[in-house]
Amino acid sequence: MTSLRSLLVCAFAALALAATVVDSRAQDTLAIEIQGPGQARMNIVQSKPFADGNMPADAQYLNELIRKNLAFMPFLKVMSDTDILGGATLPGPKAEQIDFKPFSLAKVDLLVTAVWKPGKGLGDVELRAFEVFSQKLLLGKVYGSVTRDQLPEVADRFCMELMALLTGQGTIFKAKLAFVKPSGKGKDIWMVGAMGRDLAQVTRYGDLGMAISPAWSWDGGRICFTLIGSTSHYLGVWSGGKANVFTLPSSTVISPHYMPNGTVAVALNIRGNTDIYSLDSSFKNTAGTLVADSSIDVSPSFDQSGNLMAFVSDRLGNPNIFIKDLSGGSVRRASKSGYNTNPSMSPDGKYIAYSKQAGGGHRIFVYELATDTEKQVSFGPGSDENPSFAPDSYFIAFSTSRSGGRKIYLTTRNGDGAVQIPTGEGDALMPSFSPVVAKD
Amino acid sequence: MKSRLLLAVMALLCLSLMSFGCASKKVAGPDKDNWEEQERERLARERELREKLGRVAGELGTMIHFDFDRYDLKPEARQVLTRKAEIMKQYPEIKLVVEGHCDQRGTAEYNLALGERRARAAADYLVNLGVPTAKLSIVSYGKERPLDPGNNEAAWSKNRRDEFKPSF
Repeated sequence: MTSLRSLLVCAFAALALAATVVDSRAQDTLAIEIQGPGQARMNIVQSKPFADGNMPADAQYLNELIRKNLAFMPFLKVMSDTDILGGATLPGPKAEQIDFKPFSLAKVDLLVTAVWKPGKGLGDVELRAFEVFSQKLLLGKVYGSVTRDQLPEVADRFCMELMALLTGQGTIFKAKLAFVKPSGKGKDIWMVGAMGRDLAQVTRYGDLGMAISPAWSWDGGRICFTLIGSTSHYLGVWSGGKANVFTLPSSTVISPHYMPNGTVAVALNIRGNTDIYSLDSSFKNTAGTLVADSSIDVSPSFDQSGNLMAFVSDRLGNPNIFIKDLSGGSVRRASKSGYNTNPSMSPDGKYIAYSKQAGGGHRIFVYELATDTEKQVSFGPGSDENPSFAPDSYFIAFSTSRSGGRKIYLTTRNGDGAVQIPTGEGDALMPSFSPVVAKD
Repeated sequence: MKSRLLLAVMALLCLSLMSFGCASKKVAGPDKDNWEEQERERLARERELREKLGRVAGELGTMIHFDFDRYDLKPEARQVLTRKAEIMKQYPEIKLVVEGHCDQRGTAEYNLALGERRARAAADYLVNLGVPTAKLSIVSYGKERPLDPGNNEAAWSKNRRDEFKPSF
């Protein structure tokens, strides 16, 4: 990837002047407000790739990668090139050669083009995004001497920039998910990029144990999880290679979760009830008590300041979501009624996503702290569980049985149409976003 | 004097009840590099033990069931546990792992806590019948290991259960 980076540097330099003009224009052209209660969808279409020379065999592959990425953006409606009169073809390699009329007639808001030029590897590819109405260039990037293996990263980088330009946020393209897959009689932890790339198995317990409830450290370098063995639960901690297994002073180890300061918070039964504790750095002892009473308290989740903790407690009967101010100690109820579990606090501390039991299954709801209101954001069918906020506090991954078996889908806190994240064969459940995007 | 003795006995009983899941965990903390190997060995020895015990293992393994979102023991469950306590007294070398399970309607983490309460309820009852706490351990599977994957009351009622595994 170093070579790709150096190529990108050259590419950025080549387009520096254009980009300066582009950015200044972009601010007063298209922008999408993702902080609001929802938004209309923009129509976007990709041109067929144009080759200034021989067309590389993988030109269409890059277009497909970009198309898949764009399909994850709930505020974009990806149109087919057959929607365009005469097809979405480019007459030449230069931007000024584009005839925007057919696109305008088809009510296209954004046009993405790919122009290939001869070079090392597959060649150089110029990716551009235009606003059709004003015919303005919004974004232009050149990726030099690319290889087939680099195309997924090229697609991610371009889409990340496009989303950042439109919404101010593009981190979803670099975010990672840990999740659980059944393996024989047991369960194992896996990880995958938010766009379904770089699928990798993290643990290999197979029939011997059940590794569940994965949660990332805030630096994105470690994953803690519950390991259910034949006579006890354990704490698993993965930081590359084989995970370490720790025996805690409780045979019940539920919902471990990293706090922003690197401490692990976990629900243990030490005094006859399941309460939430913080552990010391050796995982030998509890360092403090975060919540303790005569009820079940599980599933801690924190904002990035570390001051707010969402958790589940059945202190009022049914399990419900509560928020504890860890600096002041006050506790208040968030979910309003029914059976509510699996809280995920948004990193910005403004929202909590959780599962609410409804009918024969569960649905994802989002609670807004500022207004003390909850809103349904998933609608089945089947059961929707285990929501996890992405680093941008906008996207939410969750597991669902809507398509048979259990799979992981991506929606937003506004409840936009959910899109499946590819996770390979078999069931996938308990998604957990890395709170902070890993550095390059 | 009598009341002091009674208090002391009660205090001891309380301590023993609180120690489920802790008794075997006095050496807490060290990394287990070979966790898989230890688990594999344990499971192999438990299989041998079950074969050696024959019919008794079957009787010790009789499950008990619970109502929805409840962990109190039903009269028939108490009968089953009473028989287990008798067997445990006959075979003092045997230990018993109590597994708590839930149906599929709740969510995983909360169900792990509920399953733990079900396992603990049975273990507490066995202690009251004179089984030493050191002979018992509890583990909750929540809804992770259903007997019946069905999505109806017949399946759910089968899954709300405690299972019992003879150990060593």
